[in-house]
Amino acid sequence: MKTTRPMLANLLAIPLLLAASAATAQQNTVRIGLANVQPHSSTSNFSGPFTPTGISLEVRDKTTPFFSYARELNDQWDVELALGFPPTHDIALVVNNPGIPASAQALNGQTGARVRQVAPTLFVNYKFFEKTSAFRPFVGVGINYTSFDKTSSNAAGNALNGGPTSISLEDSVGLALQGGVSYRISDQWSLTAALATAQVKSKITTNTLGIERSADITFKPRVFILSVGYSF
Amino acid sequence: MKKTYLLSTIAAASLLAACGGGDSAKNLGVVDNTPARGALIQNPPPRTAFFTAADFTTKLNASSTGRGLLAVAGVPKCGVDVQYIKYGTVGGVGEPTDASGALMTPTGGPGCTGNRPMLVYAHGTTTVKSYNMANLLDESNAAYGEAVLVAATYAAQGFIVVAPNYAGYDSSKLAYHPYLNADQESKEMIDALSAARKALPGLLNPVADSGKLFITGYSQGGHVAMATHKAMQAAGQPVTASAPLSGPYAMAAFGDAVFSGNVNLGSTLFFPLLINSYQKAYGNIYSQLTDIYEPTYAPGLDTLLPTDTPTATLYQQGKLPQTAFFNRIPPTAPAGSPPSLQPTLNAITPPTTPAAQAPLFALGFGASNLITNQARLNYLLDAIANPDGAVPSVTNGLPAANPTNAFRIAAKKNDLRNWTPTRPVLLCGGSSDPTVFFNVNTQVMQGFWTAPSPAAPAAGLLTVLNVDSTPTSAADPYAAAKVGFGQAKAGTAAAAVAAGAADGGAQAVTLAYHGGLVPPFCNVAARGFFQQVLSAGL
Repeated sequence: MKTTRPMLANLLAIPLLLAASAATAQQNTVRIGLANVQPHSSTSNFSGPFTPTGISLEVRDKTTPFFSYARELNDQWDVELALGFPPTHDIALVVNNPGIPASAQALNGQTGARVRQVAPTLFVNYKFFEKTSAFRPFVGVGINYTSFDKTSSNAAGNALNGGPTSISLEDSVGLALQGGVSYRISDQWSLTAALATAQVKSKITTNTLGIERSADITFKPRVFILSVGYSF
Repeated sequence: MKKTYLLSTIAAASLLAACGGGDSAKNLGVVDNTPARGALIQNPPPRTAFFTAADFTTKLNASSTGRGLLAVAGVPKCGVDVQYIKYGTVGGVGEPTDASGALMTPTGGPGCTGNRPMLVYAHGTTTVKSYNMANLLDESNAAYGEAVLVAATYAAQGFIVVAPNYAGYDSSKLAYHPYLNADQESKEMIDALSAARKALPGLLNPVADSGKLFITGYSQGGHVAMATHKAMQAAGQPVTASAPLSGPYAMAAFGDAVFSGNVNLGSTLFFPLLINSYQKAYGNIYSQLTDIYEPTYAPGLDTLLPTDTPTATLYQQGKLPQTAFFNRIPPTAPAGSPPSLQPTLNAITPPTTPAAQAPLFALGFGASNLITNQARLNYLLDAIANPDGAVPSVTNGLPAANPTNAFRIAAKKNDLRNWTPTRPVLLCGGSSDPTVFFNVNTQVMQGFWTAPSPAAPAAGLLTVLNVDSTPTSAADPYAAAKVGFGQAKAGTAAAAVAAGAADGGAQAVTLAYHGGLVPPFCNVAARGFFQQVLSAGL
């Protein structure tokens, strides 16, 4: 995690530079809304000592407050930094092995852990139509940085793992895409609906009283965003 | 400026969120990386498997060996939690090291939780370095069969089981295994027990020590169990009862029998472990590996075992011979020896009596053998000059008073004909055991502990059980073990015959005898013995 921390700082520095160097007349927009984050995670089976096959997990959906800051480069293009109140997802246990004891199989589907993700994403958006149009569809391409923090394991997770368990996930940097439409209410106010996704690949490592296990985890998230924008 | 300020605030908030930190060791218990003897390195220890009584019954019912075990050991009364423990202990010369093992605890309510008797189980010889008694969910682990047997026999019937993997195995830092080193193995069992006791209160399903302690173990573990009982008794630490099973207790007598040509099944694996252990402990077994081993096998043999390379591969690679322990050409009597020596050497290369065992002994001789004739001769000359009191014939039943051969001196140091138990002991085995001979071990100990021997314990403390015998009467408390063993033996023979064996299944029985046929019956007999000691309030 530490090694990629400077990368986050660099990412965040980009809009700062843009803001500093851009011409003066351009518009800023701040959007606030709700994002429904559907992680669509797929996780390999965990491997490590004392780990039967078929043990995995699934990250559950979460709706979270959304906010972003966009700065126009010209009438068609803008740069947007999308943030959200970092959502904490429930992690469901997946126990898919008929050979292990029934009382362990009974933990399948139960929430065993929670993880919070912080996922700032920097988009370059292209907006169709005139600046004054009521509806302006847009598409964006960008880069997503996802960091996972504040993980916790609960009683069910601890029972399956064999004791108190700490969880860590590697940071991920990947391509992000979004598409949506903005409705212009006035010069200042707008409504935006968007669907965003990103390539998020990570490795989850658990440590249960010294026993380390890991699995590869891939997210193909779908993030539905509804927001209100204020331009100035 | 104002705009830039806003953006900075957002960026700073995001950074703060990212710095929240998640992966921390705060809930991983206490770790002791420089463990003293008996320290529990990871406290609490992780649980590696858990079964309710019903789960465990289902598991046993799912395989034919499991069903066989269920029939012998009974239906699980308790659930079983398996914990992986690591403890501080010592190696063969007292060097600090660590080792791992299983702590199996009963779960599930009355008769299973609360205050429970503790039991140390010492496993049998293995060449497999990754042998791990705590791996009850991994059928591919070499320890799986023994771990299930122990869980079903003891933990599922309410005993807290401490089953060490031994120093030099699994995750232990020790680079060798102090095999059949009575001093080390007793210290290690005591350390494992101390560590396990520290673990009990912090388990996911805590249990408590009732204060009753039973010690058992099979084969090598039989020796470990007896050495541990002896050491704890000497230290004034309470032992409720012990049951050494099929063990090489009379190491000096057993060694003499083998070097006299009664080569046991498995000797090409046992002796490299043993010679290596005693060389580490005493430093005088050899100066060059070729003092003991033929040059073909000598290179690297001091570090070969234990290993995760299968023994079949070791044989294939020519690292060890499969059965050819000694040269089939007799050693040459040194010049000036009595004329009777050469015929004596010829007659035991290989021995042809007793006829029933002659084919087994003959297996131990070949052209591409492990032990040099010179090493064998050196051993035999001392054995002839300073004979053991039990081998080749029973005189006083004691180890030789003053052996001079370094290996015989080492064997005597680890021979357990040197103590008298003050608590109940059951010795169990099978009289036709081709691997750890019953007569030179169990029966020699029985003689040593039977009046008029001065070492005889108080009347009633010693019980000896040969599962390969017929019940003495309808009241024989071990009738079930004997009848069950007879049926298992007959079943093994019948299966071999059905598969085309032309020897009536004799070879299949020989191969299965020590490692497969005897263990469940002796373990269940041990459990019955312990339960009887408990219920009698002895």
